[in-house]
Amino acid sequence: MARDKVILLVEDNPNDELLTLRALRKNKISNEIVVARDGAEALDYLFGTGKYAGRDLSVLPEFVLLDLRLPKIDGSEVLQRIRAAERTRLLPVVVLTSSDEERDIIESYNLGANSYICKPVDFNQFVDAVCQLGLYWLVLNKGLPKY
Amino acid sequence: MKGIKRLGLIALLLGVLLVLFMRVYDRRTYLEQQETVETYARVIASSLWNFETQAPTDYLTVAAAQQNYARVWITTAEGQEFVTVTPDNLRWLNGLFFSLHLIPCQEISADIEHRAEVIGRLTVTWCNLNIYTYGYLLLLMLLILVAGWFYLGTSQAKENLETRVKERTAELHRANRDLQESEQRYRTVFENTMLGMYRTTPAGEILMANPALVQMLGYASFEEIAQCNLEEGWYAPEYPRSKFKERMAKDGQVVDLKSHWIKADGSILFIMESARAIYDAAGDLLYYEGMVRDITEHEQLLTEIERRNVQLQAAAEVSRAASTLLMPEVLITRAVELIRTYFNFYYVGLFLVDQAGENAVLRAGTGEAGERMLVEGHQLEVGGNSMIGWCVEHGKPRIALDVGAEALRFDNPWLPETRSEMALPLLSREQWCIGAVTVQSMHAAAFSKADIAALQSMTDHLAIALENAWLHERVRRHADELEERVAERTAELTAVNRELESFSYSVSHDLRAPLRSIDGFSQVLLEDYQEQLDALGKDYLHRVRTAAQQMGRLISDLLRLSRTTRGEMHREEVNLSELVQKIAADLCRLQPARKVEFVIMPDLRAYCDGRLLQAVLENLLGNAWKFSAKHDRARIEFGLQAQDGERVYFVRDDGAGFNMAYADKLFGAFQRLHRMTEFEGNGVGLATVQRIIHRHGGRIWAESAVEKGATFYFTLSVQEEEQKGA
Repeated sequence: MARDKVILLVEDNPNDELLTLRALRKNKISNEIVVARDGAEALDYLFGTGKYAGRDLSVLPEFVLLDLRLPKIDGSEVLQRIRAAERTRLLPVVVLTSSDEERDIIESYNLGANSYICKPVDFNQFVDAVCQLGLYWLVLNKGLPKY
Repeated sequence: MKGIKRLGLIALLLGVLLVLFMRVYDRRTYLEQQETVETYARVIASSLWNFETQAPTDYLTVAAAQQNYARVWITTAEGQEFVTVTPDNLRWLNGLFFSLHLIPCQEISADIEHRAEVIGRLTVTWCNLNIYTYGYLLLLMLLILVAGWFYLGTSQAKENLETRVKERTAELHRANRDLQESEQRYRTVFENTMLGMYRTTPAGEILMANPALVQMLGYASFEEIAQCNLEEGWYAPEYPRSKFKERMAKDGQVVDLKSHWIKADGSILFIMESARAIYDAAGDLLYYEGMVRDITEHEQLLTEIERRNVQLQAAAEVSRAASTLLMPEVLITRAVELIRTYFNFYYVGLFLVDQAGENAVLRAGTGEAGERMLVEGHQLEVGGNSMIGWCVEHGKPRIALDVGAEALRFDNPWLPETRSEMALPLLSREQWCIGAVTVQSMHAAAFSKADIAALQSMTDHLAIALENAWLHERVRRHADELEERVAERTAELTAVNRELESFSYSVSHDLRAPLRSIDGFSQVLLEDYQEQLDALGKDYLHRVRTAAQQMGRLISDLLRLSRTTRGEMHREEVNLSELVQKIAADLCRLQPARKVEFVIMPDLRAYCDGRLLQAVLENLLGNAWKFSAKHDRARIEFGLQAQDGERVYFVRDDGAGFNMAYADKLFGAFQRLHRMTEFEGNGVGLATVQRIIHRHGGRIWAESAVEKGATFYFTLSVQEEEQKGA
């Protein structure tokens, strides 16, 4: 898998972060994974502000794994901001959350989420889900041409 | 005249000619008959020979018949005479003509010989009424006619003249008599009629006035009335005589003119008169002649009717106000205003007794006086020295037709013009006096019995309306309170609901994350540290994982349970049979090794929320599948049966079943009737099912016996039934 492809993981729970990373690694996804621990950090990374000021903005993540319940700025707002900015308008965003509430699903799709995945409690299932997800977005999915 | 004369002359001439002709004709027939007689004589003579056997009369009869009209007789030698034969119908003519000697009788005789011996003589006398006879007759008639006509011609003229003179005379007599009679009749009418009759000159002088008129106007005699002049105040000022004269000049007559006349005593007489102008031959106006009817009673009746009308209208208006105005204050203000306006009273006010029952407080009053008193908080002591006070205390009306004479009265400084006053009680349904209405007039004795009755009925109505209005207000206040309470409760419930929702939301999010960590890191341990862990340690970790996963499922189920009670239902027509088929297919796919026969009644449709019903059927079929797992073969049924006219759906299996003693625990959340090791599950499924069925307005129950299988029955709402029916 191409090493230049970055994945942005937005996750505030360190356990989930660890498990997600483990799942990704277990599935041989070796891409650089940038972890943002709240919504604000995620936006900083994407728009080169705050901690990420001066970052080379030409590098856009291949896709974003976005939790919904986040400190500071929550997931749906992050999604909204991504869709509102011209540069990130078409960035694939996969909502990866514990919630299987209908309203969360509907709201996410309304805001322009590309996919919605409910994290299973069973770790094996979780690994499976992450594997398929990585495979799909990194390999199968034909993204926008790079400039 | 001339024509008739000429006709007469011609007739005369013709008659003469006819007579002359007949004379000649007669002569000839006479000779012929002579011969005939002789022949008869011979025949008879020969018959006489045999006289005994054959009566000569027979021959004579024949002879006479042939002569048609003759008198025949025979004188025999022995002097015997034989009777003649004469047609009866000619007898009178014979007599007539013979007696008039107009026709000479002809007589022909012949000897009757027998054997050359004269034995008798046959004599035939006849009056031949042949045509010449008619000629005579005609002539005679003509003569009579002409003579008569001449006679009549002269006498008629004379007679005509006489008759006409007589008739004329009679006519004159009659006319004279009629005139006298008419005069007499007029006189009688004039003297005796109830109608007033008069003749007056244009200048107003009274020429004639009949006794009725004299009496009508209250005078003693015609002489007295003759002193008056119509121009000088007989007509009341508002109905001047000039109006009468104008009409007269315009139309030549006056018809049904209504006026007021002033009587001898100065009082007013309502009259209706009709009159015409009488002119002399030269066309000069002589006098007016008129008839007068006293319509005082009629007018009074009209006025009374009008008053009644007003009362009725007022009553209707008050009733309308009473039935439409539900605000007591508005109602009473409107009511007093209506009464004052319709009855044209000076002042109308309404008092209501205060809560302590000590004072009657003015609550509405008309005009400026009313406003002032309302501002001042005007009130009168119940039972105190006022008409209102008395009225309220006794619950009876009090009427003062002359306020000066009423001792029990509050002399109101704001109402100085009051001359008569009445206080009418406002009686509730239970005959409680809740207040009183005061009605005041500027005229003395202003209230008739009818007025009082009308007003009392109006106040009765008003009192009840007031009670209703109060009642309504109370009900409205209650309703408002209730609504407020409902709103509060709704707000509370909404808040609780919101909390619940955010709770389950949190559960969904936050309870799962740690479980995932527990499970995840246990797995990490198993994977990364399997060298360091012995079999027991691994077993423990497996147990940790199992427990975590079970709790994860439990959370999911709980969330689903709570979701079934939230959110809107979307009812639509759902093919339950198809749903069952799909679920059955899924179950078979998951455990293809099992031998389960599904018996599904086809095409059962229900009006329900498809998503929720799917959850129901998944649960019920899943249970049936699960609890029949221990049998080699199983049979699962889905169908519909009618029970007391209700559509009852059922899911039946022939599996493990349960003890009916625990049937009541079946649908409680986390209630399980089997051990976890027997059949897995967390006891949330049937609770969810029951909630969904209840949300549809239906019922669910089950029948079973241990190892005999179980049947779950459920109904959907009446609404569903109706939808199916439609």
